[in-house]
Amino acid sequence: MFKTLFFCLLLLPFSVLAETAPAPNPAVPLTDAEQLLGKLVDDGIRPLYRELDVTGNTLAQRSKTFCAEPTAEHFKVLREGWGETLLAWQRTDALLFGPAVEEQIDFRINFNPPKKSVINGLLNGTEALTAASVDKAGVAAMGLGTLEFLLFEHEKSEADMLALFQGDAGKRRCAYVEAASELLKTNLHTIADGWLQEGENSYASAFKTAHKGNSTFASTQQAIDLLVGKLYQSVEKTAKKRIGNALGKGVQLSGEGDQKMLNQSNAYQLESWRSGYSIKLIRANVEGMQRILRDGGLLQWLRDHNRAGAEKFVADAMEQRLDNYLKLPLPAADPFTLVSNGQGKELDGYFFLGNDILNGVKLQLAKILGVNLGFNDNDGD
Amino acid sequence: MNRRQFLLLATAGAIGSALGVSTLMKRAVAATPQHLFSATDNPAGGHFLTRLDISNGQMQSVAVPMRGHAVLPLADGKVLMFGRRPAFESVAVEFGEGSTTPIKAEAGRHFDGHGCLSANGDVLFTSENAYDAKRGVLGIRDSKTFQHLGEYDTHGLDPHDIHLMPDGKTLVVANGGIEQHPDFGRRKLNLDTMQPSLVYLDAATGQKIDEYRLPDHHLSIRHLLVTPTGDVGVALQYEGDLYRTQPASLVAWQASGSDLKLLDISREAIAPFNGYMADLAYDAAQDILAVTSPRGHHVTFWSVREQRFLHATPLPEPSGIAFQPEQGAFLVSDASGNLNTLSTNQQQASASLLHQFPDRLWDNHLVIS
Repeated sequence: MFKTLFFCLLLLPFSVLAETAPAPNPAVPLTDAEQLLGKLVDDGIRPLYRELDVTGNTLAQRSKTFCAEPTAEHFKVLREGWGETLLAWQRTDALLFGPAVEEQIDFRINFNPPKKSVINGLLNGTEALTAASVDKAGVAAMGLGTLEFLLFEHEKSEADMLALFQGDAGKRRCAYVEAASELLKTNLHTIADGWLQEGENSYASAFKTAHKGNSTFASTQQAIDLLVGKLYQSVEKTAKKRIGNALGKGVQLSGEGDQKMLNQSNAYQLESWRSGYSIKLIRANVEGMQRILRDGGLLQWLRDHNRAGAEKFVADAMEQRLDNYLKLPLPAADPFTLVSNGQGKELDGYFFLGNDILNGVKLQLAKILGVNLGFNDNDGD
Repeated sequence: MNRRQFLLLATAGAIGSALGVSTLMKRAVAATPQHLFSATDNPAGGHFLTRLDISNGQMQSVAVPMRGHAVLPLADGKVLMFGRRPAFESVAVEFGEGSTTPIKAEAGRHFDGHGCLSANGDVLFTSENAYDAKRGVLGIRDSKTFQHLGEYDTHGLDPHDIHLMPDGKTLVVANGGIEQHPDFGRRKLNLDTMQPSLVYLDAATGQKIDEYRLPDHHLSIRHLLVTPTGDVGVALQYEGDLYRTQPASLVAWQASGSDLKLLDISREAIAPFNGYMADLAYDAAQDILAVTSPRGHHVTFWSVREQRFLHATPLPEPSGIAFQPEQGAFLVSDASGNLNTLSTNQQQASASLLHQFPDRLWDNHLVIS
């Protein structure tokens, strides 16, 4: 059904713009840029980072509380806190530029997949586990992936996992969780602060005043190119790497090699499969996109600047795509188990509607905004 | 196989050889070119190696496990497709059976998208990244068994395209200069300090023979064309801030025995190409170099004799390009699934649609054999 729906969605909006000439860079500056960029930052981007900062703080606090008193209730709350931080981070996935990638800090937040040998090396070592020692061990020893590895095992119940935190070995494991959470809080705050800081030298200010030109952005178009380009990369990861690869998708639409590729479904390619957050995670990616585009006013700006008659159509279609995706039901069973048992079809909607968003960004949103995306040269080669 | 055996294998047939590079690179090719090979994707993101019979438009695509980049037909009928960086796998495809043979990267290495054969065709060189050591290397393999025999240092980061020179003894390597590590995906880690270079190596020993650089270190040297007389054309990609500064050029040429030079183009003319050139092909009769600009949605034409830009013709995301001497025209693939024929002279070009495949996204390079 999703495949049919996907094709219908695909065909309808394509007809408007797919046949247009190569994406032009508009010769005229985007109008009302101050309003556009300001609202994007204040109502789209900053709220996401405020929430992320809060979840990071909460997680660190919950780690402390749990390690001081490792009860089942505190463990449950701690794991939920990890999940809330993961999802808050994933909501910012389309914003991997500026403060989020300064000195590759994003890899300190979520290095995936976690390197078990590095984590176990620290767990089995003798050096005191502090934020500083975890920091020294490098990106593979820290962040959300490491914390998931410490807090979740797919085959273990919450009670079984809690048991790993008992005794002397459990204390060291807890010290690792506490240290990694503290370091994560600091790194998340660094990124959030980069967006939340006021002042004319701040990144947010540079983005908001791109239309005037500054040391970071030469023009509004540069800021919009960056935003839409990163949005495209994020939705590509969401649709393909984070769900399509796990489901063994990729060639059905051509009718070639179906069975071969379907046999290559691999539950281990789901992100956060240990915790069962794989689908919540990709939904968070799309929730973030929705908030940037809708709450950040970009879709309304298109409707308000309906010069070619297509802007409103593109805005409405994009909003519909995002809504459709988020209306998909959460699977009743654990995603890793579904894919492992050959029941990945239940998750097909996330693949097809994710690709629908991808095509919407590429063939409509980017074109209408004069942003140059491409298949052949995406990221360069 | 020991080093001595490898050296014999690599140099056999090279001495005294005056074969043109096209002959060397495509020695397996049938006398009458009729097939086009290219890495492709379908709209759902599936990866393929595609073979097209140019005369009748019949296409065969074999599913492969990774996105490919450059392709190389072999004498035994197999076609190699090199994994797009950072790829831990390349493949050899047999179209008759529709089967694939994986070629795995060695530990701590990933493929960078290109490869070439030794003069006698027995040795395969592949551009690779020794990522933990931050070193560019050429992997050396037996071209029949794909057994890894060793590697050469490329004397730079990010080796991308690689060709054998017409002397059959020298390799030319495009060191793109960009530091990358598979832990960080395709992120470019050293744009402030990147140092691209064009390096010539002795194919038998790996010894560096010569090295050339361009005046702007943000011009990444990525794709090469070698003429039968040993001239080298270079397609460049600009990693600077395009919103503030346009590069001086995006195409360079090194006449045999001369220095590496940027071809002239005005700041106004270069802007539409968005700092990015991909594949290149050469019409020796007219001395015209054609270079695709997928981000600029143009195919560009350059006079080698006059060392300058001539003109450009629009195409949506043009990617692979090859020159067909018999037709006196260029064949160009594009991201909308089209194959186009382009005829050009010093003043203008005209494009005509040859074949259309709406569910086929052609990747950056194509080979006709």
